[in-house]
Amino acid sequence: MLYSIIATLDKKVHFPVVMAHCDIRCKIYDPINAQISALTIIRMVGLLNELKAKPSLSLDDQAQFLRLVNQKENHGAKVKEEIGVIWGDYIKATQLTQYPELHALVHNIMLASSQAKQHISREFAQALLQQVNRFAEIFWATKQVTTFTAICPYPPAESVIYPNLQA
Amino acid sequence: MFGFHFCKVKGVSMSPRIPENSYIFVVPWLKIFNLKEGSLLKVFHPRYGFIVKSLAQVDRNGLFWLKGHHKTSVPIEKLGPVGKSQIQGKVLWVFPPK
Repeated sequence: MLYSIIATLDKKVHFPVVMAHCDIRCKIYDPINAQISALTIIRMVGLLNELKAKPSLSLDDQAQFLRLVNQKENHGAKVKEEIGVIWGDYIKATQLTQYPELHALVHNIMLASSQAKQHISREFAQALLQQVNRFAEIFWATKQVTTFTAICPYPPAESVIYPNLQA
Repeated sequence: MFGFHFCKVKGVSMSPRIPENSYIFVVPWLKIFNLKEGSLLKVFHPRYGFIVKSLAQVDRNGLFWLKGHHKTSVPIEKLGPVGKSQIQGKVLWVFPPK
């Protein structure tokens, strides 16, 4: 009774809204950030290997080494964060029913990201990208967006899953 | 103007105490009195805008820590403390939808 009266009043005078949200539901999700971070790790490994090939490291080289390792670390953490947000905020029971591999895939991405951080290994970094690409493929499929594979037009020139947004 | 106002609640972080789409009766001037833990407050949060939360505790610096009631609510440490000036009023009554 009272609720109905207040609701009627609300229709006339529009009461202010207060939020009791669980999180900001911006609905902006895109795995591209995770994919770019995985690519960055591969690129950093490439540059680190170039340093490795030098007989000795100058002071500049040593500074460069630190910067490359830092970037590799940061992007490894970023992959985890970006995938974790999509997994935690976007993926719901519907998507899990459609793609039951999602939990295992996300867990594997976390492990692969740690491995890529721990080693200077192109193999580990590529394995990470491969799994992040699979995650992207599933993500876009849940939105009924088709995907295609293309070589990214910049180093490290690896295969990346892109959404076909014009279809 | 009248020393009170109504607000509509969006979101589920305060359910079951304040279910989504409830109306709340807010009295701004009641904040001048001692606010007890568990009081429902309308707050202007610098990050989240106008929110309704429950008072978790007042720390020794006089800052107010807020919490939601639902398990998926933004956690207390993420909300952070707010000053008294950010409190817009105390919720006196809740009118849940049928």
